[in-house]
Amino acid sequence: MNWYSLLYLAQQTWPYLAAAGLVGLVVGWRSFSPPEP
Amino acid sequence: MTNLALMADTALLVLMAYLAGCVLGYAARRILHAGSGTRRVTAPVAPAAPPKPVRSAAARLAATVDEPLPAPTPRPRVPDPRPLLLEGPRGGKADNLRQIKGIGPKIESSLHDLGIFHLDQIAGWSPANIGWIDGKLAFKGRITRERWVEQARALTNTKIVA
Repeated sequence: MNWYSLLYLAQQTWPYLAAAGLVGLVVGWRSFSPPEP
Repeated sequence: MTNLALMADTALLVLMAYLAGCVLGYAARRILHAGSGTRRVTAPVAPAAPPKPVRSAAARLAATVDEPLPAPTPRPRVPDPRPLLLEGPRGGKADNLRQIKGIGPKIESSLHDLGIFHLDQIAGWSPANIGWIDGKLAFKGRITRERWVEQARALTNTKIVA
């Protein structure tokens, strides 16, 4: 598995990757607790 | 076998996308929060005072002699959202806060770190106190949802005069 085939795979599976990124975005957003002012 | 390798690579890509999203989300909120913090520190510009009527020197002098000093206006008292916090448990022994459903060892430890050791402390929390603790320990509404205060009151039979 080289970079080209990985890139090809990413092109084929981009909706899943986008969904995973979105889920990660939400999880990361919620994991930050703002400090007490 | 190739199919398995393909699946593994796909899973790896998905994992990488998830982790990148996590980092981005965390960083974005942190940056946004830092911005809002800066805005909060900035004091609002006070409205311009109305122009004072021009009076003669004699009138001003008479006014200073005759007029009693204006009573100091009491400043509106903002209730302190902090609940009763202790340096250490009374009598050196803390209550078992895990008697309250919803409090586990981790939360109990966090409460101890904050200065909450006894059930009667929790029983005396006001809504403002709950909000403060909720924000401080990032409980996200658990205190109200799991009715900690009611549970603590039931456990201590403390009568809180509203």
